[in-house]
Amino acid sequence: MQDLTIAPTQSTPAIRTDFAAGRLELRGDSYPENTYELFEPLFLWVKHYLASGEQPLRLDLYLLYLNTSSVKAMMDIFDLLESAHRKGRGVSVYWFYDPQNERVAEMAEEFKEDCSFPFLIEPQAG
Amino acid sequence: MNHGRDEPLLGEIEALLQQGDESNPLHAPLQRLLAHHIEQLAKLDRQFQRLVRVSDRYQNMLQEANQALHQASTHDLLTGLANRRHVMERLVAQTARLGAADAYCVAMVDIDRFKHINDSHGHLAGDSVLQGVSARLKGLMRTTDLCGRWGGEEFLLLLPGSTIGDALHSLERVRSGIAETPIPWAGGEIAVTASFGAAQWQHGEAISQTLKRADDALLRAKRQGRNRIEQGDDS
Repeated sequence: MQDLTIAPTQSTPAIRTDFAAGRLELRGDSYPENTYELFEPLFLWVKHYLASGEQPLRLDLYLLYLNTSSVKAMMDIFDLLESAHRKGRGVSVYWFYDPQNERVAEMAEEFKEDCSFPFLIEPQAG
Repeated sequence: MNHGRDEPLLGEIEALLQQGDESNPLHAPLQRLLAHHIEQLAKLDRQFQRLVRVSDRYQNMLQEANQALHQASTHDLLTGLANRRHVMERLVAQTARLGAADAYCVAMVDIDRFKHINDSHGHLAGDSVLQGVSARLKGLMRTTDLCGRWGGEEFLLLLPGSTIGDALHSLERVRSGIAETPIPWAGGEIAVTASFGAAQWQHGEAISQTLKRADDALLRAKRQGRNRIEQGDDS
């Protein structure tokens, strides 16, 4: 499957996938006009990745502001990961935040609550 | 998990199943489907609650960012006082509603020999003096008054509801407060005084004219030896 490289805009995050390495990265704010359009390819990529092979998947998130539909989209992605995890697949999420903005960490904690797979919330300057 | 069971319809189905004949081959699968359905509902409910919670948090974050932006666009970074634009907006808004019987005063304030302070103690000392005088202005004025940084070492005070008599009284308290409490600096202190020009708005007068009279009065206070308050001539 083709990897995704989507450049960031003011209202959408940078999205990068690496099928061979089993990595997915989201970076920035997310309040797109059309959330479906932005997240659908990502959703398909994750589904496809999880359906093929046994390689683990790791998400690196550097997300700041999310509008409600983006929050929902992230919850749906975590839901996919949770299902895969329950079937024994190695999945993990690293949510990085600027230690000067603790609120982002609190938000990540909210997302983490429903996940039983490794979900790390890591301070990272800059 | 119990949330799904609160649904009256599901409760009814459950009750029916309990009454039903267990020899019915559909009984067990139906019970399983129902349990699964209830679990799904409970999960959706959890997700929904989380979505609401997270969204609220993000909204709070935005609100805070908004407030910070508002503060930055209306206040002076160094002194924390209202900036010139903000104090001008307030002045226009407050005076637009004034009637013939309303009292309203403005005062221009200028720190005396500020250039000398900068030249002899350095610009950091000058900044400290600006901050100290601002704190004194703010602390000594009524909460209904507004102190703004007009530019450089000059401030504009708005005193709604004050006659010139009230204003002179308030300003005297501020003037002496500034003169009597030097600004601590580098282990020592810097003595500071300020000059004031006050004017009462007159019915029918453009507010720019009131400001001009206050400014003229300030100039007079400077010429007459500083550390004093002068009031504007009637227009």
